[in-house]
Amino acid sequence: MEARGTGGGVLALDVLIAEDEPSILEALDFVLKKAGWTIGSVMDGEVVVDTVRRLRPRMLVLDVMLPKRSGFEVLKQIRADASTAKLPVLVLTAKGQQQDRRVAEELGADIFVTKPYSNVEVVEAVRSLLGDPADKRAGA
Amino acid sequence: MTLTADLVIATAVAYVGLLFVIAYLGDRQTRRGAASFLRSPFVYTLSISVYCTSWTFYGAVGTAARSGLEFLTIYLGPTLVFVGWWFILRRLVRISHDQRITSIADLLSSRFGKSSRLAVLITVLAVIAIAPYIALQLKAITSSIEAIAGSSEFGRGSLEGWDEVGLAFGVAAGMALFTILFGTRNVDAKEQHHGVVAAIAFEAVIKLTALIAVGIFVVYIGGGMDTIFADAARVGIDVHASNTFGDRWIAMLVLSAAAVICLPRQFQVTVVENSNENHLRTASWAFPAYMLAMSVFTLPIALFGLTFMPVGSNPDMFVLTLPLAQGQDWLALFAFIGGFSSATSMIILESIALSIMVSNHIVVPIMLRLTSGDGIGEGKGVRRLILNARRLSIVLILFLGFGYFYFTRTSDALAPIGLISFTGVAQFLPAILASLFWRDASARAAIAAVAVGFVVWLWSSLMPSFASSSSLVADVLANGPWGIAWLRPQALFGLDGLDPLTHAVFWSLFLNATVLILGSLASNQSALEHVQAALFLNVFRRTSTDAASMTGSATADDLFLVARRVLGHDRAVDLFSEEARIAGTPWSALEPSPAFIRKLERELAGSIGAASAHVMLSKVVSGDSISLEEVMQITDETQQAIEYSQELERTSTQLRATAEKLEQANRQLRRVDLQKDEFLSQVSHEVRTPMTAIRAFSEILLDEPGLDSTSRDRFMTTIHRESLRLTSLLDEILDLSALERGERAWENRRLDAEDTLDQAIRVCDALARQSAMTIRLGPRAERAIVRADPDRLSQVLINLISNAIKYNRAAEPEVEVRSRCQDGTYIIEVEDNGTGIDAAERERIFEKFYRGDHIATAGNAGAGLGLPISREIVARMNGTLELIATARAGACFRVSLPMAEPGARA
Amino acid sequence: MHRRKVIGSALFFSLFGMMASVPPLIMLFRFEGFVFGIPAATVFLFGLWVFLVVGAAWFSRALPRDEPASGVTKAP
Repeated sequence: MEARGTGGGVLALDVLIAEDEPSILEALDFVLKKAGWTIGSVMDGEVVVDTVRRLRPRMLVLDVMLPKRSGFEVLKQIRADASTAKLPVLVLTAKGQQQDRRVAEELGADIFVTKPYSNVEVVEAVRSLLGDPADKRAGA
Repeated sequence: MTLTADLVIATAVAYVGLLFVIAYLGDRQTRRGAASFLRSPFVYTLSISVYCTSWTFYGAVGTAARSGLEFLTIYLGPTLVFVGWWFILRRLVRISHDQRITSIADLLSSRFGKSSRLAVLITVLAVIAIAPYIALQLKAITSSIEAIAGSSEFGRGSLEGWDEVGLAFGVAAGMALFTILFGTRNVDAKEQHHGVVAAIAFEAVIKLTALIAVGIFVVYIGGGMDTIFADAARVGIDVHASNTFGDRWIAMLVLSAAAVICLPRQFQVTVVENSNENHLRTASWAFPAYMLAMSVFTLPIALFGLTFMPVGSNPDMFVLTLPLAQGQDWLALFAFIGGFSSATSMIILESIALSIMVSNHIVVPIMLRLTSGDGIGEGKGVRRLILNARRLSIVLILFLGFGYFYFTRTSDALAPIGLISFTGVAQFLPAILASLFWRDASARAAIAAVAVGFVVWLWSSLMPSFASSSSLVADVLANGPWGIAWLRPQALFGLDGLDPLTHAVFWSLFLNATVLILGSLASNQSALEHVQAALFLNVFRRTSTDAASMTGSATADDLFLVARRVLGHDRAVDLFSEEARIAGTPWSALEPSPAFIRKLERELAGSIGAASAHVMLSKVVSGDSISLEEVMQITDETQQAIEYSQELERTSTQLRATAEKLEQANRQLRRVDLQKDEFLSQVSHEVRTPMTAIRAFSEILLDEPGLDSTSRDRFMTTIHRESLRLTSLLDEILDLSALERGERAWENRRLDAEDTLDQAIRVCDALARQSAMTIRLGPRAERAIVRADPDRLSQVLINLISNAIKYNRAAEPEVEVRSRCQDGTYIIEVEDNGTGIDAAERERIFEKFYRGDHIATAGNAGAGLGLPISREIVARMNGTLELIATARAGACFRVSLPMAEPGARA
Repeated sequence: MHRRKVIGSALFFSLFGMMASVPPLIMLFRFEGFVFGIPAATVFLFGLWVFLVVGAAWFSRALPRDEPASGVTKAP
């Protein structure tokens, strides 16, 4: 599955979203774009790491329940690779259990958000990781 | 012939030698088993006549001379006891056989809960009480030798320079030696001495013959009975016994009756040496007859002596001095031998009986305690110990007798000395009678009673006999101790004016019996006493059926305790319950009958071996010096060890099994718990996912008023779709959980499954066309009647067919549906031509929320509950749903349902 | 005779012997007479004695024999 870059050609991606539920992906895409970031997305676990290496997003929004490879495995791989180890990662989970949160933290997730979330919550989380995109992109 | 002391002593020694030979032969014959005559009832009777001592031989005549008919009481008492043998003696004999009683101390100790304190007390008191009696024999022998020696001028011979005391000491030493030689050659567990008994029987014949010979001689020279009485009456002797039948008469009757039971030697010959209960039958009349024969000539001899012998001659020696005075030396010598016989038989048997008591109840227990069991384990050591203890006891007993003789030598009559001993041993009578007839008599009361009786005896009977040799005693006698008048030995509590003997008998026995009765009523018995009391009381009870009285509380407690320790609680309860059932009594009132105890012994033998069982039960049930606590300890140590190890083994096995089961259950529980967690987590995830979409889009709609209408419609459609998804998810979860609980919301009914299949195919056809694929119909059964619910079956089939459509990513997707009837089973197969399902996933696809990785997330995919639900539904129709392997790559699901009409193929 | 009656008779016989040997019954024979030249009291007591012996001999045969099952006869 191709990662879809939006927000123009060679420009570095702000956020890569890894999420298998189409409707959630669509909603996230809409909200983050609206906030001013460039968004890319993947829908299964196997391609996340490759896409990250290739597109070098500034951060990753990662769902735990991904087909083929779970979000935790992906996170582990990302942290194990020196080139991606510093990448800020926001983990999304629908299970919302304490254990998932702990695992995510142990694996080096920067922020942990439980579904169902409020859009503002996600935007604020991304902003805390990336800084305010608004000025930079306002005129573009 | 001239009788000299030397000749008499030589004769006596020769006579003792003869006795020794008889005893030796008797023992040898018994060992050979050829001495049946030694165990005849007449030998038994003759041995009982050891009751007639030199007191009888010499003293009865003296008593008759002094107090007329009073001498008869000494024989009437025993006569009454033997006539009533059925009621007392028979019980004693039976009990002693059953319980292997070895002495009177043993008997009482056994009855009163094997109280060793009581045994020691009885033994000590017996030794003290018998001392005067031994002294009596020494005095009789000494006097008889003196009588002969004094009758001629050169009579003293080698006795020249020996006074009475020296002679008595010599006799005592000689008797000790002879008794040791006689009685302590071996130790018999039953304490039976056949050889000694033979010698005693021989002596009984000698003394009877001698006395009758003297009697006939006296009657002959006196000119017949009537002449003797007439002559006596003429010289002023009261032949009518005017003052005879008073309180003293009754007291002596009671004393002699008590003595024939309580005297250690009488108990020895009558009870312990008894080899056959029926011998008592013969003795019941033969022994009174013997005493009768012994007494027939007493009065004539006494009266003739009083009439014709010089004033001042000792009436106690008339039997000897009358023939001497008539110049009948041979008869005199024979009479001497008769008297000597009476004395020796008494001394020998009494010492043996006492020495058994001393060694069994005092020396051996002390030695066992001192050596604490080691070194005396082998029989030889114990035997030597016991024999030495007995030899020492014999010496001690004779020395005590001699001591008494020494201090009281100045009083001359024989009979009063004997009566002191009788009063002493009579103190055992209340306890003995209680042991035979009164269940509630307690050990503490018995000990106190015997002690009280004995103290009174010491004070009012024994001590006054020293009055002639001690001025202090004489003073106490006259004024009481420290001048306390009411404590005067012969006028206790101011009871004045009674004959001293009657006084002593009354107070000692009255206080004795009172303490026994009141003490027993006020104290409690130990469990062992309960058992023993029942055994003694019910000695003749054969079976529990003729048990007349079943009163009293749980006497079987002790036995139960033992049984439980050996057999275990359950078996013991069984045994005792059964016994209680047979006895027809509540368990608590159960009395252990001999039969039951034997049964118990057999049971115990099965567990700990016959020997141990016997030792144990006989220790618990009968008399011995070991206490119940000790027995319990023995059992505990051996049996508990065995039991414990068995128990341990059993427990550890059980424990292992239990632990394993527990571990299993735990694992299962953990698995179930994990599954539940997993399920909840899955549900949570499945619910949160549509919720997330709904929330996110509705927030967008709320926050973005300027949204274009295309997007707005699009988002609202998504919200709607997701909420539908949420609803169906919840429905499925509820449906599945109901199915899993075993509920079935429908009634299976007969239907043609082919119709349902057709219907399902029609429904899915539209979906198939949407996905641009075809549903191919394979071979079909024409009619298949099954028991099912059409809607549910349809749900399953639609689920299978639609899955095959949705997840088929083949280039030219197609689904084949076919059905057939086979062996009474209706089979539907749904096969697709997709990528198929890995072998590893074959079972997992039926798990809840499982979605194969290969399955594309098409957005409209279910929560992964379709297959588990379908499987549960088919199971509720008694069928199966499975994924089968086929030749082709795709997946093939098969539904099998039992047909309601197996034969219906058409 | 019935077993219990024999035992009862034996008991009575023993008690009778006892009663006859003690006052007051024995006082009956305290008169100063002679039987064949022998004082009456003496004759009575010896007569009682003989009676007891004969009675005991009779009872020794009449009283029931119930040896214990295990056998009372002791081994030599």
